[in-house]
Amino acid sequence: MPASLQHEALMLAQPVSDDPRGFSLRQSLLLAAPAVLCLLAFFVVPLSTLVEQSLTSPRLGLQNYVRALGSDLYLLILWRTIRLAAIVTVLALLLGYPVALTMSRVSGRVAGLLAICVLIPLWTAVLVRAYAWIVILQRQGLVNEALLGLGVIREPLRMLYTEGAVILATTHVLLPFMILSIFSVLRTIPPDLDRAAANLGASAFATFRHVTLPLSLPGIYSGVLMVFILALGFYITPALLGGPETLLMATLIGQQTTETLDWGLAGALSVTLLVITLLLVGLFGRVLRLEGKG
Amino acid sequence: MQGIHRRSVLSGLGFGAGALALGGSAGRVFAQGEELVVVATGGAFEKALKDHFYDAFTQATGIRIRPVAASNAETWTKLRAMQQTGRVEWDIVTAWPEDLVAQAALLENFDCAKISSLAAQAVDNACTGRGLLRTLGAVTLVHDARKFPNGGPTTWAEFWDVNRFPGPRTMPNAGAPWWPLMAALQADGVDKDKLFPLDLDRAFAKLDQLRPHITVWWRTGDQSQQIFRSGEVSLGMIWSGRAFALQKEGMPIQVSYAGAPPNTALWAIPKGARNVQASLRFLDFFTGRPEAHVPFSDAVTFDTLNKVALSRLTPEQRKDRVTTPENSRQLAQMDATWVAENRAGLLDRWNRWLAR
Repeated sequence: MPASLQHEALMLAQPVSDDPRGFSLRQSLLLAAPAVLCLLAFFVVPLSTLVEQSLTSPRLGLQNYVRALGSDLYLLILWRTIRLAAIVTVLALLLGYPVALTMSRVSGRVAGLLAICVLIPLWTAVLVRAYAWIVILQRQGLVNEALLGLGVIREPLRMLYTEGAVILATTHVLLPFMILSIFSVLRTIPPDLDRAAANLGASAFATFRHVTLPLSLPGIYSGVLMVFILALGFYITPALLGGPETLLMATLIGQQTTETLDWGLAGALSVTLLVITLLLVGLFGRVLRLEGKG
Repeated sequence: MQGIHRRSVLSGLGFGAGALALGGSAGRVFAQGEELVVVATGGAFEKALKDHFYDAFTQATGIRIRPVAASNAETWTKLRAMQQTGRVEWDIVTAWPEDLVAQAALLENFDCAKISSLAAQAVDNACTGRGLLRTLGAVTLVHDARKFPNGGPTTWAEFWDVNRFPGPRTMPNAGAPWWPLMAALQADGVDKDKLFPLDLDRAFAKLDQLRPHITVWWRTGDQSQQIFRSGEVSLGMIWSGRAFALQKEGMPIQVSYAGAPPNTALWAIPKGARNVQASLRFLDFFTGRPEAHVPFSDAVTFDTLNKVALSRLTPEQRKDRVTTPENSRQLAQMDATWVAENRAGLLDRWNRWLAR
């Protein structure tokens, strides 16, 4: 029963593909041209230069990659970056899914209020939010003062400039991306499916497990992907809220570019990060897609 | 409506093109010596330079000064990139003594005789031909007196004594790892005049001991001030000028010059700069104005190269200054040549140590 129900639900949730009122191919290409040209000029060209630098600076060869991958320090930083991105992604998913589900189930004023709560942080500058976290987490900040006042702790806790602070603040910044991705899929699921499942005797949990969750997988997939990729390259928040022990790939590449002028190594590190990102994304997509079909 | 709209758009485009043309010709005039680009560290320090020197120089000579802010590391990185592309856009940069050796290939050798006010106004050895002394300070041990009612640490050995002087600490991660390493060696018993060549294994081992208590590694002078204001740290190693700036804000910050590495900055002229003659005019102007050096050095609490201004300071102003004999004899000896020769390897080891 659950398998066939799932199939039905998937069929219902399919978007309509052959829209007769759509643009012709030529019009579509024309409309996409500005974006494609921008990508070419500001992404593909610099990226090619970067790859070229990594292979030719200061001379032709793979020496920059040997340095990047042969150093235990750079490997440690790479591992730290991937681990942090994974933690942030899991946290954002666990925190974001219930919010997205609630947003898709309520209507009217409550829905508007929820949307505002999600969007306002998204519209606030990343820098402002980082400084807000500094105010909250510092030694004489809100959290420490409150805990001291309640007598929970005797000495202020060290929270700022730690990995915990970086995880917290990065999750906060990226959470809306997760919520909005999942929400955009959840709200397309017809509410009738819930009633149908209940009609067939499914409990609320069974309905969620066999209907809502599988149908929302595309949203989870895009949300997880977006948050993970953004977290891998996050720069401002870790630089402001972390210490040297939380040095991440983006900051390391920045250092090589602006402080030591080792563009060959910076290029090799960037290409390494890019390749690993693409590999993880590919792997991830496969796993999730298989799950979605199962 | 629509017509007006279109016309205003067109005139806007025309204006834009005109501005472009203007920009082009203006650039050429500046290249002939109408504008100098001067690199310093920005912030309040740069404002003091502008108030006391840049504006007056423009008034006297008609040469405009465009200030640019860059950290020490950024300065040399960007300068090297500019020289590679063949367009050096900076006329005067700020250098540390070790840079005059380490970055010698990037710097112009100028004739000190062109700075005519040098003999009458500057302290001895102010001009080396590659750099002109700008400001003198130190990297001092400071503590917040409110956190240490019975007196705080005044030597590096006491700074390392976390039982007698508990509290979160800060040290610099600002491109000069030899500062904390010099402090570590003194805490381990090395004499302040015999620190060089630095025994790196010993210094890092000593830093390992203190590391859990160093909660912030500051990167900019502004940050070093902010963490004292917010109470994030109680004691630390920061630039003397920043420490006295905190005092002026009313904070009870105590400063110790004992074993402090000197923090000297110089003006230098990049090789390939387009306005060397105008730059030398500015250096001469900077050197020979005691009436500006008194309020400037007071604003930034650094000493400067002008000896006439030094003699005009009140005893109250003198007691905090690095050139005052009671203070200067306490400073640690620094070997700029050794630092310049070992800089790259040292930075690499430092970054590795910090990132663990």
